[in-house]
Amino acid sequence: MDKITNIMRRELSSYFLSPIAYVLMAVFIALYGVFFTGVFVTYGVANLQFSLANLLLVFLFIAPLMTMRALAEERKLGIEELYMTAPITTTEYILGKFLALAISYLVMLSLLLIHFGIVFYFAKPDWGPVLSSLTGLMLAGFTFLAIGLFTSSLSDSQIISGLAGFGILLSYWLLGWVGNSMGGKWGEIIGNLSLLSYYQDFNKGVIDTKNIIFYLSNIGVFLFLTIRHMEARRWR
Amino acid sequence: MIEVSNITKIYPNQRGVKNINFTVAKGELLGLLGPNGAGKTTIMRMVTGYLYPTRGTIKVGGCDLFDDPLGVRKQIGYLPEIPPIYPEMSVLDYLKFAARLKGVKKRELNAETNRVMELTGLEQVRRQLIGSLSKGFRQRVGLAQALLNSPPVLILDEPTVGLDPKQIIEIRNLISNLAHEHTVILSSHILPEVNLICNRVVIIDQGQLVAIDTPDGLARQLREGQKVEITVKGSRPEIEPVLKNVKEIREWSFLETLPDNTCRFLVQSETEGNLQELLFKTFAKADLPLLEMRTVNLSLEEIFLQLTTEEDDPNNPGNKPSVSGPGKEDAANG
Repeated sequence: MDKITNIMRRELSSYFLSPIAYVLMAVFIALYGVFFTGVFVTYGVANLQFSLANLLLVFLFIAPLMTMRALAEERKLGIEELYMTAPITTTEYILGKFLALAISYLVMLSLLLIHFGIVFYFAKPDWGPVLSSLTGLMLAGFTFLAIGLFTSSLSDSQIISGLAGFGILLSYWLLGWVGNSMGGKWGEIIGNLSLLSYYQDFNKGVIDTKNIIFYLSNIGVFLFLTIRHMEARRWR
Repeated sequence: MIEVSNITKIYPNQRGVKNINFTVAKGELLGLLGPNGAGKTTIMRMVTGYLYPTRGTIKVGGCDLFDDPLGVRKQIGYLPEIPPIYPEMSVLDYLKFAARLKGVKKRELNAETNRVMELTGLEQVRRQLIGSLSKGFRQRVGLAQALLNSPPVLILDEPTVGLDPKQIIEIRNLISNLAHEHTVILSSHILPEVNLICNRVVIIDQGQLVAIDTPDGLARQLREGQKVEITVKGSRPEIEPVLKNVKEIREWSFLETLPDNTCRFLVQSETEGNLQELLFKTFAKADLPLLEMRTVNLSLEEIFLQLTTEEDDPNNPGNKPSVSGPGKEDAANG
């Protein structure tokens, strides 16, 4: 565990020393500001769920930008050799990276507290759906990051790994869209594969074990694939 | 300490290495020598466990690379070809991070980072960002990182690249000193460097091991007959017929004319042994005073060229004194 936290701490300090962190957070919070203001102007209700409904889509664009550097850059600069020849397991290496990304994302999410504070100061909206939405945002966001981390292990080019991550996430989103418009049994099956459709339940205030398991298993699968892929590269 | 048995690495679309065998004893300093792209880095990467060999096994300190990769990696300090550094970190922060990665205990963290910084001369830049350092200093940061936690085995891929001559001497001395307590494998394309500091040399060409021996042993192995450099009082037309008449002399070449009617020649004999005596007697008989005579060793550079260019010139591997010039003197080898 010491080794994981060591890697994680280094990642976090590097990330928050780089301008990228602040640019991404600014974009994230600015776009949320648009939804937030839009909801109040259009509906005039103290409701946070509406504005949070689209936030995951924003993160779908931001996640690949956060993860594309993670492993691709290190391979290109040769820093990977430090980790892969150090007395640590590949699992520790990848988990350290992933935890750092997860914490960076939580810091980004914590910026929402500003908006929440404003609403709770003036009105008394329902706490429950806000908390369940946040839970959903966290789980879905972690899944995006795990997918991005995986694509970052595929190439030593940041651009390629970023685009690949973006491609996977976008097709997950499109699956939900296709499923909805198809309807019927097949539409439901395809729709169920979408990473975003599971968030809808959270957004409505429903915390379903099925949804939690879906996200957690996706995180597990992609982290596993990343670790296996890093190990397999020793054989190339 | 290190046993490399029969390792082969096959890459999908480039040449790997084939059937490499060598062992390194504890405290030994082994040099890997070869032209660019020969496979030195591949071999080092396999010993460190960064890459796994397609075939063959590697053991470090009794741990098998496949059965106990962490056991192998625990014993190794590795300086890759490109130092694995984070440009945005300060030297001190980076070394502390790397020390924790290598399992240095929290209490010893400061002492250990100070120790390696002192060894590599990094104290003056400890607070600087690595990105702002010159190439030589970055190389030293990479070396300092490899020394953390005093690993019994050091693998150094071109450790003196990018350093200025003074730093090169410092780092060489450092490596020579380290070899007392550590087992070291280093690669280099600079021949005198390997000649100077290594106990044994492995020469690699096109992914294959061409020769393995001590620097002196390699020279002996390749010396066909004897080479002697002579200085004779007399003009060139006077001396040349004398040399021509001795049938034991396989080949000779004129080097230069010195003042006072003196000439220098490089003479090579067919057989080991009595060339010096023979030359002495021959010139005495011809009444030409022999002013100086010394045996010449092939420098590692010549051996290297011979071994790695053998395919181009299979019939005449070691027979070009006039091309490569006089070799290294015996006395300078020590």
